[in-house]
Amino acid sequence: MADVLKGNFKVKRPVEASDEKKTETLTDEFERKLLAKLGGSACYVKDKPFIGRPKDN
Amino acid sequence: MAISKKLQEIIDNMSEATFTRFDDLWWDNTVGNVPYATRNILESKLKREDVDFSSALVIANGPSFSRRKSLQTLKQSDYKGLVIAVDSVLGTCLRNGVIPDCVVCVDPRHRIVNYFGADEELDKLRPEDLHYYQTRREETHLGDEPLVTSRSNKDLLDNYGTQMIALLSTSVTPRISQRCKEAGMETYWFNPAYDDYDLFNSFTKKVYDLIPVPCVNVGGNVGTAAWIMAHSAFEIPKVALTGFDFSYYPDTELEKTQYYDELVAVAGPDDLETLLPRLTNPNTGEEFFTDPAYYWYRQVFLELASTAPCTTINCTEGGIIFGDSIVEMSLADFFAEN
Repeated sequence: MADVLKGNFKVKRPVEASDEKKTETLTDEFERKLLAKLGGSACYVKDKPFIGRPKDN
Repeated sequence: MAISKKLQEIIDNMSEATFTRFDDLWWDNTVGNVPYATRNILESKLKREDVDFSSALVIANGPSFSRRKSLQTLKQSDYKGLVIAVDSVLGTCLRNGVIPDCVVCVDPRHRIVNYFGADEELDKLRPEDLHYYQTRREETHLGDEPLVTSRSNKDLLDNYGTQMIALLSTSVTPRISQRCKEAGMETYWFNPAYDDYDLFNSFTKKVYDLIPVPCVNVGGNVGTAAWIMAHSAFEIPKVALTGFDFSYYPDTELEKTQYYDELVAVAGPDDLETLLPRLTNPNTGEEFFTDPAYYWYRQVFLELASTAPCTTINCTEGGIIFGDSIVEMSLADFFAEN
């Protein structure tokens, strides 16, 4: 939240950032990066031909 | 075969994981390859008219390739069909007097240039890459001394480059394009399909607009890409495979498998086995273990093989590629018949 609220004014109702949510996000980010390392060398696209070109070309 | 929930989750996420892993690198490499990508893979058949196109042999770098002495079997044969090698096995072939007709490369990482012979200054191995090569010897074929092997690969490519052609993905590091040019090796290009190129906002379409060469659904890895080149670019009706394990022999130390560090981080050392399923090859009776990426490659390969315009003959003599769409045969028997 500190990244969102900038300036020197005072808000009427103070907003507290949730530590729990922040922790979840970091965990998700860690897991996403970790799982990305398990990826292959290239992609596979289901139901596309072996060799093709975009339709409008 | 029942697999763990975590493994299934990883496999279901594999395309997305691959995208997250490489997307910026894919784009940067493609931009760097614009000056080199002047010919496309469908023109490559004309270049290799010296070859008998009734059959092809695709060489991948799985452990059976050395354990079954497949290279010696090939060397002793009088095989006249098309020989396509994946990048990581090129140096091994050349060191043993076998010159493939084509080499295929898909992986975008800079370290792959070592298979074509790296420049010791321009391509200095990062410490983590050096660690990878030194600890995963069985899988990489750069051996105990990766820099020495890379130096040898450079000399070999410089000597034999004009006798081969390279089928390159626009995603590979431009250093490989430069090495091929230096060695006099003609390059033929394709875009790997990253996503559905007929949908709005497709990354593949963006890449295609930059380099308008055919898009190939490479199936996740270079071995599958090489098999696709054989049947769909060269239109060869009978394609044999060797070194297509997508798995490890049971005596392989876990630390030497390709994703060991990452799998330990995901599962923890105690639950590691849940991410390494075991399959028994019905043709050899041996049990092999695999990892999430290889298991995904296998699933994709079998799916693709069921619709392929060729007969696929697995001459690996090990590994986990078996099923209704695959003919099993020893490599020696394949050579006797072709």
